[in-house]
Amino acid sequence: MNAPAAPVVSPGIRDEFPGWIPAMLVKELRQALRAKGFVGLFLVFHLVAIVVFWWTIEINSASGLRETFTWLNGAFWTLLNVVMLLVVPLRGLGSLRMELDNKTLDLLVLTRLTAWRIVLGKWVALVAQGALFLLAVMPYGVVRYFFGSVDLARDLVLAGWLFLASAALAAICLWISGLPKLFRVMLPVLLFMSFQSLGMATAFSAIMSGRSGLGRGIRTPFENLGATGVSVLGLVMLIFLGLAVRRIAPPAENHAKWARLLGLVLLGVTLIIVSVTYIGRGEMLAFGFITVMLISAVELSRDCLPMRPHWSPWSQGGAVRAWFGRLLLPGWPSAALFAAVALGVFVAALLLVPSLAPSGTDGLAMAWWLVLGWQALVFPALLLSFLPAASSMRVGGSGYFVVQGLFGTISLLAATNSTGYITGEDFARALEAICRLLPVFSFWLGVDSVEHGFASTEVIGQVATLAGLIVLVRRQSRLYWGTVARYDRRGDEVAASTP
Amino acid sequence: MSAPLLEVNNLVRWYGKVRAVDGVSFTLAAGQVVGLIGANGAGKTTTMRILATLDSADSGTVRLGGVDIGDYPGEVRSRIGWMPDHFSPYQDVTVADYLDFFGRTWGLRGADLARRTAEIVEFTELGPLVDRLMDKLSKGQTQRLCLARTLLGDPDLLILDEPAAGLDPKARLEFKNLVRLLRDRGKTLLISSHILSELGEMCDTLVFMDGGRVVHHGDTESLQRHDSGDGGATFDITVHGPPSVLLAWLAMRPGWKLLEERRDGARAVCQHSDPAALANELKRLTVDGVPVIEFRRAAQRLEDAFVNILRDGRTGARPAAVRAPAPEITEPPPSLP
Repeated sequence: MNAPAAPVVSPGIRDEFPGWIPAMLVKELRQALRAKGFVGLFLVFHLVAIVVFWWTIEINSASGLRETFTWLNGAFWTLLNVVMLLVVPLRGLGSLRMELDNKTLDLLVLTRLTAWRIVLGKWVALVAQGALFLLAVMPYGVVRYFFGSVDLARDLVLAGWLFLASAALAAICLWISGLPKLFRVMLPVLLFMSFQSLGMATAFSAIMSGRSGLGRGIRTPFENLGATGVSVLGLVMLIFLGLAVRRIAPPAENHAKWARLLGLVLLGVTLIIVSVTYIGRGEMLAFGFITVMLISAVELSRDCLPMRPHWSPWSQGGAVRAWFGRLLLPGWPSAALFAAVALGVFVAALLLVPSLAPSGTDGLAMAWWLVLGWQALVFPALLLSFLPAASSMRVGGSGYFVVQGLFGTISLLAATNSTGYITGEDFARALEAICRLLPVFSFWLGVDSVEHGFASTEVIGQVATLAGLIVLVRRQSRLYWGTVARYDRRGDEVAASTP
Repeated sequence: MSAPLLEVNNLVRWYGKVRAVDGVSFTLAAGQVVGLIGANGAGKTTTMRILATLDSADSGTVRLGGVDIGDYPGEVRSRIGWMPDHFSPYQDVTVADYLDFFGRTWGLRGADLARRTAEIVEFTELGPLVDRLMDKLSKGQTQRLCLARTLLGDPDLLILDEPAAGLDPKARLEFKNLVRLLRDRGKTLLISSHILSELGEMCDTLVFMDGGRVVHHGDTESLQRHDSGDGGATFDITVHGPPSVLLAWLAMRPGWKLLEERRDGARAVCQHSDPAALANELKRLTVDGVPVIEFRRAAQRLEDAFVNILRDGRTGARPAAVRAPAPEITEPPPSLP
């Protein structure tokens, strides 16, 4: 018998990336680093940096070292800001779109890659490109040493913030790349206008710190954000990566599950931080609350019935598992349940340990205000559920946010008594009193009641509204939970086909 | 008889108010090559996308090896290879990098990845092209690369949507050979195409679709036989000289019916279709002095068979189905899924 032949290895197969690096990241990095656009950009970037630095040194040579340093500092941070907050995220704008337009996405989801892995691979590749640019800009930072003292720790913190902001922007751009053309043009313009102004403020701050000598003790706007800032940027990344995943995921994949589980983890971390520290307690509680609100809102905007693959993992394994599964299904009824449980944890914590409430607030009032928050979250979804199926589809997920925004704006107008000028003070007050009983309005108008408590008559009316809302939510989600029950009845058959 | 590899049972898919797939049912045995035929909007691609777990049926079930793909899409995906009708190459990616990437997505690493990729490259004859950028390949080479990618996961069932579309004759021939080799390796293939004659050569079984429904499901050979509905067999008979003798014989001989008179003979139906009776009829023909130089069972082109089946389906007992092209966007059904 002949010895087995040695495997023929194709000459073109390279193994420059080790096996533990995810497939999607390898592909994205290979593609990005080979692209003419990237190589050209990298060369142009260095060319511009050299010209700008040479020019800055040249025109300031007569003004002395201090002046040159100030301008070099400004040039350095401006350059970094443009690269990190504009160039790197912009590269993500075509990322998902190309896969969608070329129909290559189908081929990816048919492998072992999930939509999360695809989006994450693309995002990490963008972040890696950002890191590459960050490293490439460092020599220009070193040049500043020859003209003045550089506060290295402060510079590193600033660079870190820019890096984080760049990663958050990259996540937003990835999401935008999966949207229709109108949004792909409109949103980046708005996004970069706001972020560039923030970046410019950073650069300006850096110039000012250079001017102050060693720059010791000067806190930048980013530094002031602290842990809350990191959490907010982390949340932004999570939300937008989740939204990008939803753009490409096959309907049978349940991504609500991961977003909500991560949300619960963030919620737990928030409560732990709040319980052990008094510093920034209000901010952290607000952050936890906003996390739950945003994570719930994303799925509350989705009117769909659960599919069998969504429910199958939860159908076998007892009642506890099934109840846990009910919190993690896609579609607004499950999101309403999730929001109720998550906010319920907050409410219970505040009722059991009133000292957890931020200073200057009433724990009981705060707890009730969170209940009103649940009402505010669920009410637009409930309203949209009354639309016929075809209209509901046409309105889509944005309908939820439009209704929410509309109610929020009216609440603000009511709160500021803006209508008083037109309708008279009495009418405005009566309108506000009615609004305080209605869902969404009651939440926004109740902000001031958190400090000194809600009026008892107001609470009675709000309880009645809440009861009515719960009844309607149950009625409108009957089909949804009925579908889940139908899958449960099929349990035996499904079990028989388990691979 | 072994259990079928794929069982499609009463599949329904709505696009808004259009029933793009309307109660489709068929089975595929392991190792079969099956052709899916239908006009644009017949529901072929939607059906194939559901089978490939890229779309979800509103009702009905699909089982691959006994596993419901609606319940466990993740589990069956490793057993399915999907080749879409439209395949756009990535920019700035070489053939080798592309195969390496998809190999990695299937969990292959190191020596296993290299071995598997080398096997596939050899099978699809992509060796000389491994260092070439994907977007510099010809259409035929791109299709071979697409097939190579499909094979990396070693699937049991290959679903190929219009694989020969846009290929030149040489590339088409190469592709046909690849399909033959795959069949020899025991793979099950479901192929859709507009080029029916090619499907006839490649496929054991054909499934005709129209208006979202299966209007015929049978083996290729019986479809190509131009037999009459009452069990008779159709023959093309060519004679030496004028056909008048043959025509007279057909008119006199019981059990024969003239279908078409030709310059050098005729097409006729014989009521007897069993081989012994047919041999006797041929013998009789020569004994009676008809100068026969060719006596051939009429084969019908698949295109004609397709048109005939569609015509029969529309004029016959089958209810007319909604005929509309499936739009790109998906909408949920108006009722429970």
